[in-house]
Amino acid sequence: MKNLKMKSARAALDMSQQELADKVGVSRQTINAIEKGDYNPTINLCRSICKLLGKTLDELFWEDE
Amino acid sequence: MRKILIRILSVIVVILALVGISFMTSGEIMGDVSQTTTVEVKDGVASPATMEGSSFTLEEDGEYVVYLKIENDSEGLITGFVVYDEAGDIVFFSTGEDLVVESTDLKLKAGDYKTEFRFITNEEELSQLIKEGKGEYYSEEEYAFTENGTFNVTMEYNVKEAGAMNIYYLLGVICGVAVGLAFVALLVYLTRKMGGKIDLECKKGAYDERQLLARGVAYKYAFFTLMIGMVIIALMEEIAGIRLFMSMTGVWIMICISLAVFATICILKDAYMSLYENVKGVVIMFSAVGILNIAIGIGNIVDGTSLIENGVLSVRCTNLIVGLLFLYILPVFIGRVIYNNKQLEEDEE
Repeated sequence: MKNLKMKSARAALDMSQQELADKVGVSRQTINAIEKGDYNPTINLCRSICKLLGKTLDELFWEDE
Repeated sequence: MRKILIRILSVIVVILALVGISFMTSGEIMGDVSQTTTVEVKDGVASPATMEGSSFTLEEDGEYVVYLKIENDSEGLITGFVVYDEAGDIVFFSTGEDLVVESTDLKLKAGDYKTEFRFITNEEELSQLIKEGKGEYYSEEEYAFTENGTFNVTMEYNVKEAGAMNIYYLLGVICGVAVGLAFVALLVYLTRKMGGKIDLECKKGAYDERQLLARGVAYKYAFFTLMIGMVIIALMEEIAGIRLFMSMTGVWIMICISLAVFATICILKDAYMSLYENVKGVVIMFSAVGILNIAIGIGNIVDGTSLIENGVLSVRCTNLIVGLLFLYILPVFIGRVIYNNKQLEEDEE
C-alpha cells in the first residue's frame, strides 16, 4: 500500500527522494520503495524518517482504517 | 589506496622471491628440448622411420612427469614418443598427430633413459607400438594415414620430478592472482581519477537494510544455482558419460553462471550498487574487465590456442567466459539505471 503521507511530508519540505535518502543514510530506491508500498522499513528507519520530516510514527506509518 | 598498493607490491615481491627460489631448486631432470624434423612418406613408408631423442639420467628412484608437445603441419602421420629404460623396456609412450600431454606420475628407477620418436604411417605400426608399450589400443575414429606426403614435425618435451611440476603450476597460479590484483588496483585508481566511485573495501553500512535483504535473496538463489549446476555436470559425466568440459572449466562456468544470477537479482532489486558507489564507477569497471577478458580470449584464439582439448572445452576459455559474464551484466545494469531514471522523472512530475 502506497505511503502517500510520507510522500506529502517530504514534498512539503521541498525535499527530493535522493535528499531524504542521503540524510537518512539509505539509497534513493529504498525511499521510493517505501513510498510505493513495496518495502516495509524497520522501526529504526521509520524513526529516522520521522525525525527528519518532523512527523510522528502515527502520522507517517499508521494505516488509516 | 596507497595502503592497498603497498600490500599488493609486497605480495608481488614475495611471489618473485619464491619464483627465484623455485628456479634454484626446479627439479628438472632434462630441460625443455625442442626438435623439428621433416618426414617424407612415400608409398606408406616414412623416412626417417624413427629419430633419436635426448637421453637423460635419473640419480634416484622416484616419481617423475613427462611433458610432451607434438605439432604437425599436415594430417596423415602419427608421431609416437617412447621412453626406454636401461633394459630396453618402454616406461612411457604417447602417440598423436598434434598433442599436448602431461603424463601421470611415473615411478622410475635411477639409471639412464633413452627417448625415441617413431613416425607411424599405418594402423599396424601403431598397434605394434601400443602392444610393445603394453597399452590398450582404442580409437573413437579411424586415423586417415597418408600414403605419400611431406610432414614438418616439431616435438617439445621434458622430464621433471613429479612434485616440481606441481610447484610450477602453483606458482603460476599465484603469479596470475598477483598480477590480477595489481591490475584491479590500477583499474580502481584510474576509475576514481575519472570520477567513478568504487567501494572495494566493503565499508560498514555500504548497503541499506532493504538492499541487504535483497542481497540475501540473491545469495540464496546463486548458491542453489551453483549447487544444482555442479550436480548436473557431475551426473552428466558419471551417468550419461557426457563430458563437455575439463573439470576446472566446468567449475568456472558454474561460478560465472551463479555470479550472473546473483548480479541480475541484485541489479533488478537495486541492491547491486552500494551507497559509496556511483553508476560511472560501476560501468567503467565492468566495461574494462569485460573487454579485457574478451580481448585476451580472442587473442588466444588468434594465436592458435585451441579452446578444445581432447574433445572438451579447456580451461583456456576461462577469459572468454568471464568476459561474457561482465558483458552480460553491463547491459542489465545500464538498462536498470535507465529504467530508474525514467521512474524518477515520472515521480518528480
